[in-house]
Amino acid sequence: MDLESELRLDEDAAEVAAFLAENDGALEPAWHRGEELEAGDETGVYWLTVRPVSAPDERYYARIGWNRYPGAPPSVKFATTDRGSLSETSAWPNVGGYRPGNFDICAEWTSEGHQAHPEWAGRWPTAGNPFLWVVQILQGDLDRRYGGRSA
Amino acid sequence: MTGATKTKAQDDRDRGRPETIKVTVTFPIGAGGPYRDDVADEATAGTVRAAAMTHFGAAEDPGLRFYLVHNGLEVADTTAIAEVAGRARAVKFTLARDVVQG
Repeated sequence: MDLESELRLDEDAAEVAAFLAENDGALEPAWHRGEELEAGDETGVYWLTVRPVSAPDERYYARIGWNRYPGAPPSVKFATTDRGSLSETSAWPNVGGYRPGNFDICAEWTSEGHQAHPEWAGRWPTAGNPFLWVVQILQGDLDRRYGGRSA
Repeated sequence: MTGATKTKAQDDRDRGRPETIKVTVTFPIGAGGPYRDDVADEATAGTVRAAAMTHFGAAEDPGLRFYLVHNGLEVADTTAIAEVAGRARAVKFTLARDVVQG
């Protein structure tokens, strides 16, 4: 990841952390724990702990990985635990557009969605704080469109 | 005049409460800072949303849907701001944007 992306992410992440704290969640950059990245991984990885407002005892662990910021959307996936397995469907919430079987989210705010829909290319926003925008959508989906945990 | 026949505006004046409601709308990917205004009780979420979109430079688009969110819940355009605010005289919203799936 280039230096400009790192600086912008670091700056915008403060607002993301504050938003998550207001919603009983948390944010942590992967490198704070010296997480080893594998070949092909994004270099700007953050782990989120989030929960639906309707299920306060549930916890979901989302991995958000940026290759470039704010120029391109991130990869968004769910893990069994903080830094846990990314290949368990039960780690995923049931929300329209979230595809536990494919381990991806088909939406305009994810790199996976943009790969499936090249026509969305012009819709990725680069103004303001796109990191906060992505996290607010994720939290909003859990609050307003949540259909329980995936099997 | 009895309490039962007072209008809400008269009641607010009698209690020294502001007659307008302060609204703040944030939009993480919008230009500039938050949108702020003082609106009448009967103003709707739709009018606030439209004004906020103008402030943020967000244009209506048939492929996108914009709406206000308050405390995690979507607020319909027809909802009166006073209904959202309740007894409070200030209310905060987030402007949300979804892609309309074809």
